Amino acid sequence: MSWLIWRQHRLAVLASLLLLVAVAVPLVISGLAMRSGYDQLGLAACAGHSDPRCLDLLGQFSDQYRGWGQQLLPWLNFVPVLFGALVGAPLVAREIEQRTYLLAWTQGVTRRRWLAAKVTALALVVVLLGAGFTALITWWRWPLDQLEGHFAPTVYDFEGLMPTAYTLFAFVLGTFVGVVLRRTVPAMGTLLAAFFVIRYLLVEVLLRPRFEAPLSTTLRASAARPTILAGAGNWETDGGFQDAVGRRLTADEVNRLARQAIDAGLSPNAWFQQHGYLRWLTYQPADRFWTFQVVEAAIFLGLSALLVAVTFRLIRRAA
Amino acid sequence: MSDAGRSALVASGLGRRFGRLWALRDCSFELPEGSIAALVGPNGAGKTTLLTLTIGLAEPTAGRVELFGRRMSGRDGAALAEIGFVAQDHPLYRGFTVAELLRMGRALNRRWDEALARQRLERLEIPLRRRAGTLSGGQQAQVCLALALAKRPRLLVLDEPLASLDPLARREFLDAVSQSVRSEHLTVVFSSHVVTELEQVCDHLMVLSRGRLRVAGPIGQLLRAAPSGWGVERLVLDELRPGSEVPG
Repeated sequence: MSWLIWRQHRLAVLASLLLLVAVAVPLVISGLAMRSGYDQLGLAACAGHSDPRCLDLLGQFSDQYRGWGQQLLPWLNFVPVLFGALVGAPLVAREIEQRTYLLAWTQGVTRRRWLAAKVTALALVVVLLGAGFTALITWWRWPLDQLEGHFAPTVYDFEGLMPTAYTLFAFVLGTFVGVVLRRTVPAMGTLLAAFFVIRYLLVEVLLRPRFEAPLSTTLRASAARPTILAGAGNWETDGGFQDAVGRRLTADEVNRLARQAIDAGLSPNAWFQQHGYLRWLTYQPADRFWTFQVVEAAIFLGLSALLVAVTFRLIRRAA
Repeated sequence: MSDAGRSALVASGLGRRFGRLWALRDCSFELPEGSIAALVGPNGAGKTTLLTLTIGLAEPTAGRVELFGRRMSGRDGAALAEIGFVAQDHPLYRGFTVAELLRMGRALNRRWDEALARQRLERLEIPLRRRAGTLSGGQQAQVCLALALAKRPRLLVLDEPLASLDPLARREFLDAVSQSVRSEHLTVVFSSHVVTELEQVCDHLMVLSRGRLRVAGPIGQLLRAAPSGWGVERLVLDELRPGSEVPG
């Protein structure tokens, strides 16, 4: 059946590869520039330090390249779900839409075996696409990872197991939605919305910060706001000011006090310092990165397995 | 009729419901091996529903279908191997060439007679290199038939095979069907909402109306029981008369 699967899905696979290439071109160009900048400034020696000279060099590097990471990367969140939309959504939906299921499901192979062969082969393809995408971004981010780690959500989503897990999940979700809606384009649209809700709102915002209880610490109020260097690869989940007895201030209070400081002619940080306030932080330490990755990948693998099971049940009655 | 007594197809108490609506209800009949049956009825009578249950494309809500003594189910690969199906409007992968469609058949069937399909298509002068989407409706129907026959089925099921064909293509298609029935010992069921064209090829008649089977049996027997001088068309029309419905 592998010939048939290739023949039917080669356009989707080629379009996915094209998407990967389209993403790769700007990443390779800026990645090469970023690496040479990193070497020229001698930033390797600065990883983990925060002496003034290093802070200055880091500032230069950040000005030049950090914007890339912040502006380009969020858009790449769409790549896994686009792989899923291209390969998964039409898998069954197009057969129903074009009525070719009448041909496919009346041959000598049961619908279950037909679906199993397709899902297995194409899952392998999307896993490879996801892994390729991960390798690309990890290569590109290497200098930034050296300086700021890879635990912050804007990076975490693109390294380790996540892009591959997201891609597999998007593929399975696309197939499922295609069986339910029986039309390719509505299935693609619904997949996009459902993927956003599950992957971002449900898992990233709601669940991920709770995988393990965050640690907290306090810093002098006048400490420079934790820079990409001071972060040392931790994921800062929350932060603010607290008073001398350890009560955390609300945003309104902080604003009011900051205005008071400015009226007194002081910088807010210096004023907070003088009046005995501390800066508090909660964070997930860098060494939890792989624990988090494994937990989240397991969640998406579990959801994918569940969706596959439901899809197999539904396809029995799809005609 | 050969092999009288051995049944190719037995339906008992067959029914299928969509929501609260029964598309087909209480349908029971037997079709002997080697017969060619016409399933006739107005649009929406439940013909396609009955055919999809017969070929295991859908599972019945009630009752069962037996094919050569074996319960038909879409989950049974061996049962699927016994049927050849040509769907209404003969859907094909439009981007596939005819040769690729044959390769698909080979990939999806353990029993596959490639030579048979190639000979048929060659005789009809349908080039293997052509994409299915560029073929005429009649040619597409013939490709579908060739794919169905190359499975070497024992039951051939055709859903409104003539509806979208012009008169010449209809004639050719019917010729092709009756020829292969003679040479390959097939049982055939085909549906139509036009009666006249079936008379020349069929020996069995089933009339379906509003989800119920009104009459089923050998045409000769049905005509003998009918007033003298009646033809098949008159017989069917009489069964479909509004007043003739069986209560319940």
